[in-house]
Amino acid sequence: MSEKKVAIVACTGMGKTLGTVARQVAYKVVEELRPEKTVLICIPSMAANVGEYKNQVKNYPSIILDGCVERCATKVISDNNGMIKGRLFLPQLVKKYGLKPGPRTDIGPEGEELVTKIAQEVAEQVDRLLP
Amino acid sequence: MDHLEFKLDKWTFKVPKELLYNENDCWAKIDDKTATVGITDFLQNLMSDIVFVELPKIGSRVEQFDEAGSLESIKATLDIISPVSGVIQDVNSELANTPDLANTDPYGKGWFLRVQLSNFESDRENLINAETYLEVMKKKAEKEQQKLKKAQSS
Amino acid sequence: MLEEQKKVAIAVCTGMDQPLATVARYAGYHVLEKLRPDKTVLLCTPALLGGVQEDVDFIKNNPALVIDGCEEKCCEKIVKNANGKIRAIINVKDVLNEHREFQPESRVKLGPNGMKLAETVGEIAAKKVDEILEADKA
Repeated sequence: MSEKKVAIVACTGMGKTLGTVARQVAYKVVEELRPEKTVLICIPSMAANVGEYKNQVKNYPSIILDGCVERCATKVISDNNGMIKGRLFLPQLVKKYGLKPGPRTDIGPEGEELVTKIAQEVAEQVDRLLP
Repeated sequence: MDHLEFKLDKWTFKVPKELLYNENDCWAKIDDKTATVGITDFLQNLMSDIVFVELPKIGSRVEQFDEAGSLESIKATLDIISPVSGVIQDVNSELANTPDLANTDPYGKGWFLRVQLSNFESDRENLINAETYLEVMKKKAEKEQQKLKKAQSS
Repeated sequence: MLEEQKKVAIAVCTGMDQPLATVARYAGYHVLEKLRPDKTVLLCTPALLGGVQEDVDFIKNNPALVIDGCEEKCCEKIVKNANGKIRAIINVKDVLNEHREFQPESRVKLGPNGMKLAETVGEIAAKKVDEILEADKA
């Protein structure tokens, strides 16, 4: 494992719309905002022992995006001895930004705006972890 | 807490036997002259993730069927309809920082109010027991499921 | 009565890496919401991994249809590990091989062709749901 990066972990849950939002936030951070500083963690692949994800969460600081009260991404990363350095609880961010996303299959314009705002928060957290 | 259960797909809705309920999905636990009040498992599930709870001031009066605060989730905002009458003795200040306690532990740590009862003998006539609430809840759950399916299929 | 009819658990890989994982996600929604709403329940794979009781119990007690996004077959492994009763598996990659015209644009945005692929996978899944429930009746 070479240079330090920040692992971005989205819950990617299916049941609620914020699972879709979390997913989109992770993509935005990793592909657009901080591509050089981040890696994307795929929770199902990690659970199935595919790829380097288990090593990455152990060795890189993680920022977790949890979509609901179950906080599954936090639980899974904790169970895998991950280094959790940031946690965003998306329901509270819905309240904070006053933006209500549409359904899980189409989050709509408010959902897109919410993705943009949360992704910016994550990017700033990444910068604090890797100045 | 001993409870009744209703299973719908993968969800199980619990209805503790020892509590009393109103038809607005609030529960009351009666301890002599006080009542602890909260929302039911069914309501927390229906609301989805609760992000804000507004509670009345300690010392204020509330009548049965009055609004006694409100809760906001990512889906909707809803008034809490008091199941009992009396004076607000205490409110759950934990809900200010952790509103999702109402989701994760609706009958325990997610309680909302404590009320010094003023008229319980009369209030009791408008409250239902666990068995009756279970039936009320089943009908509501069925209706909500049909509504959701209709919305999703359009 | 709603709670008496057996339903099929739709378990989707929910992977983040590949566009076909995003296709699997939308295929899961398609079969649940549009095609077989009365016969299916959506399993949340991260919730299963996070030990959420309702998902843990449901997968043990109901027939499962797995939709995987790639050859790693993560969802199949996860459901097997959770003692799920897998009755059918669809791999989105196999469906794409049969429908090369439905190439998704990206993992972030599937585009019209990617959505068509998701719908096609959903339709295959719907038929499998019918077969599973028919077999269980017999």
